[in-house]
Amino acid sequence: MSEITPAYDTDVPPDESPVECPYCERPLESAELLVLHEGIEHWERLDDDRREEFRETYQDESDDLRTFRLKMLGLLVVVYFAFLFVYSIYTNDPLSAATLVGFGADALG
Amino acid sequence: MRRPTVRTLLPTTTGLLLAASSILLLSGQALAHGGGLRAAAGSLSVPTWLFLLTGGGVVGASFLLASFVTDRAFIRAVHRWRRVASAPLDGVTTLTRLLSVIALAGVVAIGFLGPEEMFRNAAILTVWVGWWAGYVATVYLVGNSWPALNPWRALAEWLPSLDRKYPEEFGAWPSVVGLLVLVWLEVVSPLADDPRLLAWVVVGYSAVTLAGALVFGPESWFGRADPVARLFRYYGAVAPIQRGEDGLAVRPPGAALTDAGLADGRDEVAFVVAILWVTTYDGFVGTPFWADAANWLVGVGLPAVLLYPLAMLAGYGLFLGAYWLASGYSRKTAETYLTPEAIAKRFAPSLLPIAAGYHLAHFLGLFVSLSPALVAALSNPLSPPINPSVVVLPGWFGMLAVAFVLLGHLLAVWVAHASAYDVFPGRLQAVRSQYPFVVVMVLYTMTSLWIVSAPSATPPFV
Repeated sequence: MSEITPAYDTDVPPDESPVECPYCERPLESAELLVLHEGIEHWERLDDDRREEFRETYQDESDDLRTFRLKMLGLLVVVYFAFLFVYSIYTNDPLSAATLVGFGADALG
Repeated sequence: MRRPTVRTLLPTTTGLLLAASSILLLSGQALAHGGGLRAAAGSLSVPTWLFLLTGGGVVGASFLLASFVTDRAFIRAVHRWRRVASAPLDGVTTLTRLLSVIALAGVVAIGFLGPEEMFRNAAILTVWVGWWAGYVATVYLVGNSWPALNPWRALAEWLPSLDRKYPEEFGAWPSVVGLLVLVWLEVVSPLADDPRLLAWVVVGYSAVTLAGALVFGPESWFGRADPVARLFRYYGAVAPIQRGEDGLAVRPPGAALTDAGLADGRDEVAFVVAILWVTTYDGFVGTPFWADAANWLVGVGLPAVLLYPLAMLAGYGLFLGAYWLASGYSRKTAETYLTPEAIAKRFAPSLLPIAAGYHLAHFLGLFVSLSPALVAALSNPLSPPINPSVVVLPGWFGMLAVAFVLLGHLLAVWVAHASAYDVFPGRLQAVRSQYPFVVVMVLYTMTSLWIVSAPSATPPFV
């Protein structure tokens, strides 16, 4: 929640109307992102209403993230089983860590 | 450079003397790039493409795992954690600098006067085993002690200076050029085999460095233009011990990389990418693929002398282009108003743990196995023992090298994740900003693993 925000170079496409942070003038892409930005970077300067708004927006974002994480978990499971499947074709004992340790050992032996 | 590989240093029978293998090494038969990593990948029990895919998969999966950490307070707490100790460094620094100036003079003297065999010459062993393999590892594992050691800086500060103004438009570009030139020289010349040549290169580097510091002042020369000081500064940012305004601070490894302003400008981004590229280039020219490509290129009429500089520049352009392309796409995937340049600057430091991981993988084995030779040579530089002993590395050492590479990538993914949370107010936005970088990182991992798993070949036309 520091007040010292590094200034980033920004470039707003001409056909878009950004919201601008009143404290550091950084243009932001949506009203929600502005609320989050203010809460993260300028907490000390916010009034109680704005802080409450930040908490709500952050909570909403956390809900979105839950869905996102489920998708990521699904992807991770797919990747894991894809590798397991491919290894089962190319090695005799895909579950064994010896596959990996093996090449290290016999390469140096 | 034809660095002795761990494999060539491992006697297959216990009675094999190093003298025999050093004859092999010097005759160019077993000279090869890389280290334990190539040895580890040398006889895979899975097909190469699967080995590469697995490496890429691990990096991709680690990104997926990092994206599960979405608690801002936790990420911030991890990266802001620090303990400060004030230490009286100034008095110690004078002593360490004095000692390193003596060491520099010693390296030049032994390089010219010592024995010509590489494994017996204290200058070769000090520079490659002690300094480049061992000391560099302490810089990213412990902390950047180079400012306290840098013998050239010590000399420059004892000498007068013209204090001309350093041209702003040069920025870090001289250090980028310097790094590429030094590595090119290392690849095309027997810098690790020939003590006389090494001594001449050290003298040449000293002359250029001292002249630069004389004209522009040590502060601007070592702060902006000197490639070695800059390399250590960036490697040092990976380390847990950082020097701040209030003394020495201990932070989690890589935490300093998430601070804004480490790479400030296109020139500094270019240097970070150059660190990664030169590591790759050093390995690439030792692959059979390069040997074939080089023979073909010379066959169609390219002058052999242009081969290595052109490959150096072409590959560097490719790496830099890929990084900037990813930064451009990151602006799109994150739907942000930040310029690609702002993104490129913010995420460049996250590449440094990867470079550190590869360095450790390449050089730890070399350092451990040749340390006794270094000690033997240092104890009697002018007439060291004929057959210095070496440490025989155990079989699992190659696995350790693969682990270091992966650890470097994991730290890089984590640093990029934490930086993204710092830059972007939206957490989903932060994760999305990383998509292009993850693609580039996965491709880079696979390229590197392809290089280390290729059989080693002697680089042609050098």
